[in-house]
Amino acid sequence: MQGKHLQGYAFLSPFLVLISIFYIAPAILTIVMSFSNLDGSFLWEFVGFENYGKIFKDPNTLLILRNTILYIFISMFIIVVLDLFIATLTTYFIKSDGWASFFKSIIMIPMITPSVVYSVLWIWYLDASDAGFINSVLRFFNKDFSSINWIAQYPFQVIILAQVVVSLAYGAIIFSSAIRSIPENQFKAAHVDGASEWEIVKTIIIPNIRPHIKFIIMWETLGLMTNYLNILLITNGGPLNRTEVWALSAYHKAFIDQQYGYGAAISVLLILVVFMIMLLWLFASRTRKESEE
Amino acid sequence: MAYQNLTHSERKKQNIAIAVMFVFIMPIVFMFIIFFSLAFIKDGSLTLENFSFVWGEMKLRDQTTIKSMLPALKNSMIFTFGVTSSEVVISMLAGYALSRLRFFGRKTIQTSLLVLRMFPTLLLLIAVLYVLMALHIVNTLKGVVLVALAFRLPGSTFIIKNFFDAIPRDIENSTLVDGCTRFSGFRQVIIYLVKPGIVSIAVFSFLSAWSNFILFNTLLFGNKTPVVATYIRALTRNEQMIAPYSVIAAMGIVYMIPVIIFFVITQKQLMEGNIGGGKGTA
Repeated sequence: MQGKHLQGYAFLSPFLVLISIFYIAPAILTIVMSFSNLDGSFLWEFVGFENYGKIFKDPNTLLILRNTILYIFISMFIIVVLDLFIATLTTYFIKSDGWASFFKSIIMIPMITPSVVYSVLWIWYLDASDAGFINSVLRFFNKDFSSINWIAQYPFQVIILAQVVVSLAYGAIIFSSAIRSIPENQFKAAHVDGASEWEIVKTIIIPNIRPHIKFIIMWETLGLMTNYLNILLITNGGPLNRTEVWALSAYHKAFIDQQYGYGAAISVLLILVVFMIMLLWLFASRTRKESEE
Repeated sequence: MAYQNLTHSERKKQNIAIAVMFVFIMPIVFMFIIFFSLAFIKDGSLTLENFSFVWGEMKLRDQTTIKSMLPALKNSMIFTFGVTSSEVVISMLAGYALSRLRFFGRKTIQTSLLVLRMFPTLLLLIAVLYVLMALHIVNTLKGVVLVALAFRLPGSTFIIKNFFDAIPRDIENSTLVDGCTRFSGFRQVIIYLVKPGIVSIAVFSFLSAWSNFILFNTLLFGNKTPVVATYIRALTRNEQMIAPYSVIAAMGIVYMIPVIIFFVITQKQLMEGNIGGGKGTA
């Protein structure tokens, strides 16, 4: 019996060692750091809840909170609607596998493009100078058109658009395989009853893939909440904090201002929110399983 | 579904849907094609001059010099190979143990896997930097490989565990009866049965390791160990580009060649929908 336990841990040891040192330990350390004023000199000095107090006193906190909430909800809504649209078109209406996978591959291109390159693409697209694509197209049609600095004028819309385009593929593929597993005769019966295509989408497709929609909403919310990469690369939170979101501000405080303790405190608050969403999700999926049994 | 079995109205609807999708993807396609075609144009004529950063130093019009991309390419390859190969091996061992072996604490590890898989690793980077310092591997490629591995292991272990769960127990028992030990049975028989799982882990591991930026950006400093992502980023600040777009497009093409090759080969796996945390999740 003893040997059996050892065998299990022999297989697991590389996994457990890596996870404990570079995942679990940093998670605990983040919490400890958030109670200290650790900075570039790396001297530990514990200050209790001072960092958390500082967050509430910071005049920018309200703006950052507002940005984060708007960014998450607007992007998530657009992503889910477009995913449903793409999945329905490419799986239900387009029966040809060749066409369907062609469109899906195109949609996956932004996802597989390294973010460093992807961000340059947007910056070039919207550049205010003569090199900018949109501006030169507009000038081609209207000679008197004076260039617009799109990113400076509409930073929030730009980061939402860039994030939506990257995120489309994941949900579209999940929804599409979910739609494919709906029994064909449900659609046939509806056609015989003379249902319109809109009614079929509303009463057959959406109810059938409801669990997947819930999953994507949860997944995208967590992703949008914590992944600041595209914002960092396209606007870097600017101009004047107009696109600064919560996760990015933790990065800025820690790695730009070297206020590691303060950055950790901002992270801890976000991690708490993430945990609540995860618990809710686990709880909801557990009760769903039980009610199915 | 075969094309010819469609009724007249179904085919009409399919054509409309194809047209709508075309309009929908057009902006994305145009954006990529036009941007990358800039790489082949200099002073209005077709040329490969924009690619000269690959083999040597490159002088720009305003007399800035761009260093060769070769060291960065080499580092990126070492990093990607290190992460992908170790991730496949380690997650396979762990996934097998969690799926097949009975031992104390198995349930706890399984549950924590679920939480770790969704945990926002990007928020841990501040503390990770400190851990690397304490271990004296800060600002080394080795350190970043270990961090990237640890961040990705819960997801890939979870995926491969599901593949192991799907193998009938009888197959495994018969390897044991035939005189295999757990380990030799694992090596000689079981591995071949989870091949699709191995492929899908390898694909996502490769894509995320090759395109990773944030780990290098936060954990490597002083330009000691350039990788392709930080090499390109150094020339593309948010406010102004240091190199002209044509050169950056050329760099983007070089950077993306392996990604495109991998994408074309493994498209099927990517489309099955078991994407273990897409890009940016470090």
